[in-house]
Amino acid sequence: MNCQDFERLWNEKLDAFEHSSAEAPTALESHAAECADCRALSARYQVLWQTIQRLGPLPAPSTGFADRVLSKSRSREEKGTALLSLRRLIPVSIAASLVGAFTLGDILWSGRFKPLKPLPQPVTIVSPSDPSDLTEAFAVAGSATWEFAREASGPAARVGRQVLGSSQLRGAAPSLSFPLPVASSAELWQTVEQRINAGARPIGGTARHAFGFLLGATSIDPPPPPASGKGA
Amino acid sequence: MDDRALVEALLGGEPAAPRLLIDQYKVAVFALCLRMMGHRQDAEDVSQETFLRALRGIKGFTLERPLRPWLLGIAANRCRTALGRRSRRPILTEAAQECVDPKPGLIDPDDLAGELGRALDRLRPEYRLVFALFHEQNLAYEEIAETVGRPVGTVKTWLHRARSELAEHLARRGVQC
Repeated sequence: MNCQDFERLWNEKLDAFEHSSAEAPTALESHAAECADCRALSARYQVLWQTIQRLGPLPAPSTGFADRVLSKSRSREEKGTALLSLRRLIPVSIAASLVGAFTLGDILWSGRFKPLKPLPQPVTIVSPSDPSDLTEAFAVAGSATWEFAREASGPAARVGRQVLGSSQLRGAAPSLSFPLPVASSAELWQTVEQRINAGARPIGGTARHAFGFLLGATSIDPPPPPASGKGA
Repeated sequence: MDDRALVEALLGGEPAAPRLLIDQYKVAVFALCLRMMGHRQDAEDVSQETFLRALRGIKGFTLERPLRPWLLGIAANRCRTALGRRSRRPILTEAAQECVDPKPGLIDPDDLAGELGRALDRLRPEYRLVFALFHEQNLAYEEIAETVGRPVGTVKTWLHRARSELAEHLARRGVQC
């Protein structure tokens, strides 16, 4: 017997655990007496054999284990049934989607698709039963428009007055009227530049005439007579 | 109730059959799961999953097969999956590691089973599995081979290595009988 056989025989002894004892067979004992390594090995296996022998009964799970398993099994079955019914719907929904997609594609491909026309808006025709009502409505609308214009023109009038007030020359007052164009345009622009630098604002008599009413009631010129050749 | 009658009852849809199956095999399944997982609550969870799978898969079960290796095979697979999941969790705390490998020289001579359990915890899972199936569940080599899905030769090798490592570990720990 060699050392390999020694370990194999110990394993065979452990394989037949229930029918053997911790004592090594005679053949093993005689080899162990000659081999120190196998003697140590034999001692280790004897400890293992006795340790295995001390293994107690198998442990049991906690109480109510079977109930918990059965409860979970039932809940899974219910979930499974619900999922199964959903799974049955999957092919139907895929088929419906395919049919819908095919129909839409066919319509677009064959040019049968036309964008929807906008719905005609309903037209309401108002026919006043009494012409005096219409006249009165126009009068009210005109009055409201006039009031609105007067309210809105207040701030504009203030701004206008400020503009016209600042158009007065500061300091020595040169003439507001520009001289007639002189020999060259360069001289004209030089003159303009000088006036501007002197504080004059380029508002001529025409502008003053047009916006003079903003300076106050006293300065408002009477409106010019209507042109006879134009307009109504 | 023997396995054949139990399987027939399960296949026949008898309402009491699932409870009978669980009551008959819950100790075996739970003990294997506890040996593999090393934690009671984890073992209960895996045992529960084992029975749920078994009840779902019983329709494909043949009457000639014994139930015990089949159930333990499901349990072994579930344990492997759970251990894989656990290994991906953050590493053990220092305190937990100390629990796994206590200091030598503090052996209770009456707690040889506890010493063996701690030594088993240090084995590779496949060695631990075949050791538990052989020495605790009393399955034959052929049944273990069927349970773990490996040839008998591989099972023998794993078991011999498991024994050798256990014997060495117990000697290092100073266990004497």
